[in-house]
Amino acid sequence: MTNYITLLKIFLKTTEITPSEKKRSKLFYSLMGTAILMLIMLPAGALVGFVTYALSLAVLDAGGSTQAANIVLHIIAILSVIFGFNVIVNIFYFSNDIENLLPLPLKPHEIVGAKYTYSLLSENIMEFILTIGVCAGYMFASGFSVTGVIGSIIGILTVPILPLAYCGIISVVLMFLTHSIKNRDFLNKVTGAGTALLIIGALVALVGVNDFNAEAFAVSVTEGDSTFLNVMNIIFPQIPLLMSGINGSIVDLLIYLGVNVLALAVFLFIASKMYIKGVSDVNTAKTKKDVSDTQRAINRSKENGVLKSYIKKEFLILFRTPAFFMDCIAVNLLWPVFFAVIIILQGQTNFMSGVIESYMNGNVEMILFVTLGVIGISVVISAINSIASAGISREGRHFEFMMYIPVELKTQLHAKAIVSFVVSGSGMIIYIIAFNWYCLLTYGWVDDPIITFLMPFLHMLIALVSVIFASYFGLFMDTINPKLVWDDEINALRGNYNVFINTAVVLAAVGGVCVISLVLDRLINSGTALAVAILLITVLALMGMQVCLKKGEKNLMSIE
Amino acid sequence: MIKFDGVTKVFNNTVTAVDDLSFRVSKGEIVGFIGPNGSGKTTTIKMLTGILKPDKGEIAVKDFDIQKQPLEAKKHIGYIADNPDMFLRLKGVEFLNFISDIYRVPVDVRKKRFTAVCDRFGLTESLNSQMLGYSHGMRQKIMVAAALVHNPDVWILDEPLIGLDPKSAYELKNMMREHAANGNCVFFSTHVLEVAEKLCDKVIIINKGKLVYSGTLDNLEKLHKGKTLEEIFLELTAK
Ligand SMILES: Nc1ncnc2c1ncn2[C@@H]1O[C@H](COP(=O)(O)OP(=O)(O)OP(=O)(O)O)[C@@H](O)[C@H]1O
Ligand SMILES: [Mg+2]
Repeated sequence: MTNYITLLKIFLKTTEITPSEKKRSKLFYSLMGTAILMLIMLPAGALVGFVTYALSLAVLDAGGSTQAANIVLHIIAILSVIFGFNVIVNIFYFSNDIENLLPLPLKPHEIVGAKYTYSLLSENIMEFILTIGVCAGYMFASGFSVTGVIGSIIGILTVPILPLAYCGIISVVLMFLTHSIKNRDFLNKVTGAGTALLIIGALVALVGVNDFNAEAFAVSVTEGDSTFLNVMNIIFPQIPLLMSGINGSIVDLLIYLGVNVLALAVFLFIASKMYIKGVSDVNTAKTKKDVSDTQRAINRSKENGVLKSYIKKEFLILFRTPAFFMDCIAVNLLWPVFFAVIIILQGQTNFMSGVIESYMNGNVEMILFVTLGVIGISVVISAINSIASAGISREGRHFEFMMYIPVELKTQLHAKAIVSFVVSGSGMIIYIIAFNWYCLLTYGWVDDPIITFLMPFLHMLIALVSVIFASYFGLFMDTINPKLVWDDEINALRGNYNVFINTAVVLAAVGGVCVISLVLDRLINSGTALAVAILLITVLALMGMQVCLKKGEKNLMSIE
Repeated sequence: MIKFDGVTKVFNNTVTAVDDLSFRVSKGEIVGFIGPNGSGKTTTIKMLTGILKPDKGEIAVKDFDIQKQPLEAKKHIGYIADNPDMFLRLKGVEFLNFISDIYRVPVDVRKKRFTAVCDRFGLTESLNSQMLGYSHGMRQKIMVAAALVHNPDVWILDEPLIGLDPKSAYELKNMMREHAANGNCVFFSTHVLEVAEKLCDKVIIINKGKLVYSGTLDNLEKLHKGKTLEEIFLELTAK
């Protein structure tokens, strides 16, 4: 037990960014970061709360009880298994501390237990906030009670335990079974690709849901006809128990706690038997023993310009490092899911029909709104994938490399910003094409070349300009206080407050642009407002670039 | 080729890692940079390569000041850090090509050099796989190949022999000799006296950031008659 606590303390310590010097500014930094993180996540929590509230009302009307909240919690649990799995595999098996831990006189379940707790504590802020949303949404619909509040608090704190225990069990068993395969780095890729596939699958499933109807849904879950709910109640049995506890059943609440303890016990038991065998030799990647292969590779060598070569290196590392791949590349796949949900909602409620109609009719004010939307979404997409805002932090110990090669820091900053620009910008172009296509499909062809050709083109340009702003400015933000000391790639990104602070700052800047142009829209006219908005974001992009290259370079030079 | 003039480096306003250090390294020389742990060797080398900025003093490589003309100076340096774990997700050949692009080495030249290094170090089998799967020694060898790909005038190595097997260490020492013989200079840090003894034209000994001796080993032995090198070294760095 004491070993477990000591280990846990060490794991938590290494993720802090508080080296002895500059303690105050670091503390300020992390407080700011946490606050902004909350601000970013609260809307998500509120949205989930609202959905739970609305669905619960319908279910309660149909004579059911907690089914709606169960479903939402099940979905959250599935998501946390999907996103938690990669983290767990990395923390359990591929982190750099393993080689130092294994020779110590520690029992496997102590290592795994501490690593599990660490993952639980550090990876679950999002789930935490979403669960608060669900509990609050349900109680708003069903009424508050003392047992409800107590049950909610217990649930909010403990509901991620089982999904992560599943991740733990699956990864331990998987690694145990594959221990004879030498290069298991591929497992990381497999799980990364698997995650991407699951997200795409969810996307397809969502697009298939065309006739969602809250009342029919309520009746089917109340009568126990929902296959999804029935299956999920078996996979995550703790969720119906928890909700039943919140609904007043103390016995179910106790069983709920029992189920969690049992899950942990099973997980630790399996880990104590299988962890060591699975973890040994984990970092011995496959080395091809093929002489002619090497000769061919040498002969394929090409000469590239410095910038191009640097960009290529950045891309290779982003794609090949599992943690970076998940958080910087795969995360972009969430956007199509998000837009698909909106399109489904549109199909249900037609809430956007008015928007589409007046946009297709060439209403200047609507064009302004859509343009502001394009600017906002471009910036958010670039900020969330953190390619730019962790561009320096990702280097970690290799930061010195940036300093001793005979390449201007400006060139290196350009290369990093361009990588972010390419990833976020290409996404935006696809979304803009999809949006215009959808408008044409639902509204029909219009004979106005401004709407059918010029606007999509202009929006793409504006999107790219906005992405330039977010990329260069995000990179600049990371030059101020990059997180260069980390043990694992995951820590370079998660728990890196630069990412959140950058998101907040670029959002505030874009918010300013929106406010100014909306005021102009009221005071003068929409055309002027549109022109000013385009002008402002262009100025911001140029300034962002300037700041990044000039001040950013200075910041980097002063890092020791 | 290397010029250090009154260089001082203070960390956090408290730790004086390098204290008023001055020395020269000329063409054709192999110079060993010796000192106990924490004496400031790595700090010195990091200032020499442009990673750290000195608080006082001037550093020049091939007459280019590392502060004022950093790119020119860096072009003439080949540097091997004390830790070869770098860009492990790249394949060896990708890494070498990346470095070659940075130093603008033409294709035919780099192909020849890659092949030569492979043969010499026995890397031929693994160059086309990710460096994650390399042993420490293999990673170190790739770093040697990368540092020499542009045939630098000044070759700087921080503790280069750690983790190399006898054959590879022998090859590396030969390469250092050849590189110096071809009209370049080699500057490497070590705390292994025997290596310095066999390899170096000159040694620079520092202790607590201060220069304690600079010159040939023969001369050092003459100054302290009747003592072994080890005894002299321990005496010089005793305080
Ligand atoms: N980034 C840093 N911040 C603060 N102090 C540092 C830093 N880097 C080095 N030091 C201090 O500077 C001194 C010299 O360290 P340096 O790494 O140069 O020694 P070294 O001679 O290379 O030692 P070794 O033989 O162990 O490699 C030490 O006291 C060290 O604690
Ligand atoms: Mg050192």
